[in-house]
Amino acid sequence: MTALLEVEGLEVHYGPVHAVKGVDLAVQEGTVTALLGANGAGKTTTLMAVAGLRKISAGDIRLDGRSLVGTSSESIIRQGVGVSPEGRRVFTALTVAENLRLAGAIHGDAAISSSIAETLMERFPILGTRRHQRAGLLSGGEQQMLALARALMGKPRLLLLDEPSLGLAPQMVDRVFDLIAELREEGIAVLLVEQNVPLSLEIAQEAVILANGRMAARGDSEKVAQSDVIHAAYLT
Amino acid sequence: MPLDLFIQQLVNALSLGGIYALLALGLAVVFSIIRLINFAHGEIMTVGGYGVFFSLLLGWPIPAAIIVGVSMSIIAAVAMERLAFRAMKGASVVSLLITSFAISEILKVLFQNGISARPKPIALPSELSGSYEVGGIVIGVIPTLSIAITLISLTVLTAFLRRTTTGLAMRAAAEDFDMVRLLGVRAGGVVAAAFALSGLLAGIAAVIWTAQRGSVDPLMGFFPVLKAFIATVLGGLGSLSGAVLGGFVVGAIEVFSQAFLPESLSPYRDAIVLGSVILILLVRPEGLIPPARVDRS
Repeated sequence: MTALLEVEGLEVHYGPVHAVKGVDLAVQEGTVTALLGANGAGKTTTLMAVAGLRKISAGDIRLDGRSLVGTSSESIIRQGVGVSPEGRRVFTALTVAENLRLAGAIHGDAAISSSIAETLMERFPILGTRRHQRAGLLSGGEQQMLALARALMGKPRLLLLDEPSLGLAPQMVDRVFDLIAELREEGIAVLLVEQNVPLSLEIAQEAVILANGRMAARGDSEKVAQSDVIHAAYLT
Repeated sequence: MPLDLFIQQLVNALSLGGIYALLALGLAVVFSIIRLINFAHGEIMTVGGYGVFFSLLLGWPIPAAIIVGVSMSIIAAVAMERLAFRAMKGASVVSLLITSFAISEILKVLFQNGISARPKPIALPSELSGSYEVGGIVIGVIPTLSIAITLISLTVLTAFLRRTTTGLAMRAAAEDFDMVRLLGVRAGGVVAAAFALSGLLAGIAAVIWTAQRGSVDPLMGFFPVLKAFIATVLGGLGSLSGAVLGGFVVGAIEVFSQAFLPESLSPYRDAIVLGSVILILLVRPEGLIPPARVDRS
């Protein structure tokens, strides 16, 4: 079966820095692929390359078998990709409702956008309660909920999530991982960059471990969980 | 200070500050999104002034002249983005700045050689150049109209930025342009809209400025845009509400220092304006209303 997202031999340079060196990964529909590794391993760069925000030096990125190389971020998103980036990046000067409305503009129909926003505000009740508040006034956990809801406004088939649990209280971390599991059950494919390795491996079907821009391990998440790389680095 | 004189000068301050506010807002809208301080913004205003001048020369009615003037400013701004800045996509801030200087100089030379280096007078109907009296205070018709037009423009703009998707995208792009693209919003459209909006604001400023001065010349946009630039820095570079506030503050300092300082100090008027701005910035280095912005490498 062809994966929804396939990354093959990905290379990314930042000027003289070779940040990503030959990374392969795939995400099947309705599954989670975890992209793990230490800070600076190249996880976020890989994710941003998939989202079209980082120019790639070599390799290929395919969605539905079609190459995304050279495609603008806007077009990639419009092909059914949702992104919740590192640091949440909610628009702090806009209200919760405005953040969602802007993300819903992709549908080109205010009625569709507002109906999706209402559904999401039922799913994330705190966003409904705070809809008229500026996003900058929300707590970290609430901003994360908004970032996830905003990524879902476009009704994506593939979600790119970068450190969704970073800096959250333990209860909120559980809520975020429960939500990712729910989305997976709904058939959405998720590429998850995380620092919380045990929870990520629990939720993911596949895992890729990066170290210094290279793949240190790749495969079935249960097998990766047993691998020496993971044990040495994270689970001991 | 006599109250009637104060009120008259307040009207002048609001009228001049309004022009600076419109221009500063145009500069800020573009800067907030692509980090460009467009020094050719003054020439966008001048194009609008000549639009009004030539329309009246052709004998067209004033409303038509206003529409032509404003439309020409919008076209000039959009053309500038399309022909010069879009090709510079991804270039450094310094390259963009130098490009804007180059456009500004080229247009000034074109106006000087193609039209005239001298001011071209514009004859306005007597009812516009007159004044009226309220409770013993004499107030000019043009300053009153200027204030009304500025307030209406700012109100409509606020509604545009709050209610429309393009407005939302522009506010969001001011904070984090890449994130806007990650929502599937077309980056080129947002930038083009920002330039069109800056052209619209410069066009409105051109109409008011032309009506107040009664003439058009190749440098007509240069000095007000310089003041507007100071206003954007004072307000907080990249902050839209800051630009408006900065415009009114600069206008007020300029008018009141001219009206109430002793005659012997009048050659130092600009120095006083700039000195006051420096003082304010010493206390608030980020400007009066700093923008919410995330800078990412």
